[in-house]
Amino acid sequence: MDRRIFLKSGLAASALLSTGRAGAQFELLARGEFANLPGFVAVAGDLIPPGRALRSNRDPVPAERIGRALERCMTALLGSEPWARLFAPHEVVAIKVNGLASGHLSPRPELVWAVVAGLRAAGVHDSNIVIWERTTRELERSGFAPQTSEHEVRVYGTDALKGSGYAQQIESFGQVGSLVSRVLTEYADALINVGVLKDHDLAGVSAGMKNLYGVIHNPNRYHDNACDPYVAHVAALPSIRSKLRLTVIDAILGQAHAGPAYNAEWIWPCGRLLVAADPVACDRVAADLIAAARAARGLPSLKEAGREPVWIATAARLGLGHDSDLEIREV
Amino acid sequence: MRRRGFIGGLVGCALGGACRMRVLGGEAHAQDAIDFALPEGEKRLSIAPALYYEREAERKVVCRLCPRECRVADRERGYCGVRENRGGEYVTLVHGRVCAVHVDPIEKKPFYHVLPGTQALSLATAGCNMECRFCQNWQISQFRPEQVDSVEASPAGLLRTAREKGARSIAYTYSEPTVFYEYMLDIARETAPQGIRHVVVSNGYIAAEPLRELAPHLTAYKVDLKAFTERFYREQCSARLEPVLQTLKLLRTLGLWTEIVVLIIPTLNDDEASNREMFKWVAGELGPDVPVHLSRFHPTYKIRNLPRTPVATLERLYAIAREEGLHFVYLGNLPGHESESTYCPACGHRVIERFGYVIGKIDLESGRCRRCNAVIPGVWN
Repeated sequence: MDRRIFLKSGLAASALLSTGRAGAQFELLARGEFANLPGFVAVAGDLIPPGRALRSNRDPVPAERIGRALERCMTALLGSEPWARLFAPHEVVAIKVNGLASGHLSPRPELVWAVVAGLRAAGVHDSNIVIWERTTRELERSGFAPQTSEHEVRVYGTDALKGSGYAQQIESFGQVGSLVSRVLTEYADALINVGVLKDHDLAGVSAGMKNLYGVIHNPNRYHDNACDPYVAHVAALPSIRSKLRLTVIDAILGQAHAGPAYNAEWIWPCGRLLVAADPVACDRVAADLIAAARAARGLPSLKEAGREPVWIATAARLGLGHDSDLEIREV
Repeated sequence: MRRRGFIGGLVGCALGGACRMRVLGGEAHAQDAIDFALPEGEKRLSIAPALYYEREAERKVVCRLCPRECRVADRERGYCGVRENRGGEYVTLVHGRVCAVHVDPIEKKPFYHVLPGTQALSLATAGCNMECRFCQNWQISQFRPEQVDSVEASPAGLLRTAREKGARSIAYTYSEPTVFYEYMLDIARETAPQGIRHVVVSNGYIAAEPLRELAPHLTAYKVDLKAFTERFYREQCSARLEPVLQTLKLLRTLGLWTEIVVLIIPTLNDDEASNREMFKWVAGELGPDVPVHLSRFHPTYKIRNLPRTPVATLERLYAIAREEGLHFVYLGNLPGHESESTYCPACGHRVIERFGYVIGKIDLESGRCRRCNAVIPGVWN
């Protein structure tokens, strides 16, 4: 399904799995070219149980429902045993969550633990998995208990590392020069970015790539000009670009306005989960969902509000992914 | 793995991290070497209400402290990284937390016409409202407060330390004092009446009203004038030149002793034309008695591909500054160079002899040249 039809359809819960393009992608994946899964976004719908009114991500959704949706997305994206196609058993995998808005609007722990289950299914050892954010405090507020034991899945913020928690060498791309969290530069072989679906007062949209601001030490430097080209340039930093393999967006609830902090007034029951290896395609779908939600509520478009997420197109031009000719697989 | 088994694994683990699955691999254990500290990031913050901001709808604020005028959404920070919107209330995160404190010769700031030969208790917090690609102190200025070590320091404690160390002034320096404005204001207000002087080492990127409120408590202000083109400010500092010039003019209006430092960087701001224009502007708008320090660049931070500034370049610019009528021009980061000393503009007599930060002979009497009695402007007592 292309993007236009996806937007018009309102996401009927149909499982699509085209084999033509996907088969080619598997070959690419087998060669380790993970970034070359262009334009594919798997979207699961109907995550909100019938009759359930949710106001924040602290309102529960059955873990099984979320786990099944994630598995359907992964299978739609990659075929059978999808996690093993992206992650090798010996790898250290860092899962970056978004804890800025605390548990009200951070990725549901159930979803993040479902990602962990997928990694386990690929043979990744618990001690080689880390759930991480800028600070341990943000993780705690988001429903993740800190854990630094070497035998368990680790849960900690960059600030839990001795020193500043950031690498000593500045990484640069374009207009961005930053220190990157040592979680990524020293420990992780692969990065999974787990964000939420929300409006952002400066960037327009915060879903996938904007969440990567939490990987660098100086995110406040990159908010001018509606974050363009900065979001794209952060995503293009060598440590990030070379390790980002999967983007998962918790869109069970979305926030159409007044982000990035939680604002109950603008929460809507989106009921979806977005999964992609292509971070640009994923953010484009997220931006479309935000745009549609704003229009439905009579809000000005992001462009009219002066924060059109132009950085998505910038990221596409840098080769980070695809902003057009997307193939959205509803599951 | 079969789908059924996979889903079973999901369900068991979904609500917590305690469940264990069979280990299928995991030979590397690369995380085992992780060096953990206490998760103390928030303990490095010291929060107080911010000054100079306006509230907007939807819990947004607009900061009016500096020309950047950041519009900050709830839970976000301004460009400086040390001022945060918490539910529509803007707060400073560094009020009372210093990440650097030293006793330095005041010449190191550099102030050459302020209490020569004295010590300054020099302090900083994290943060800056510019990002200069050549920042010498980027390890604190370009970080958030929770990312650097810091200690609490009250105004009374700083005064006590200054006295114990024989410092006659407190210098706000190293990073950008504007971003810890409230802390600086509180220290100066509380301790200036007890006889200690306060000097600010700044990039000059501050709004007029906060500067007006602060100025009566200060003795001197040093401004880093990074270059004299908007392009340089935009490309090298992520800032603008014009507000800095406005600050310099306001400092003159306020009658606060001002010195200027220009870091001369090869190929970026060492051209004759723009520097001549700068010297002309300083002489015309601020007066010929404003000391101008031309400092030698050393590769650092994001500019590591350029060499140190040739001495000949600095000497050429020195000559141009003198041609444009500036009375007090100094070359910095050149220990032993004759231009470190102060010469009477009337008779050429060396009135303050310097070698690096060490003062030799001071040949001033009540702020006048001992040889010809000409007034040498500055803060001498």
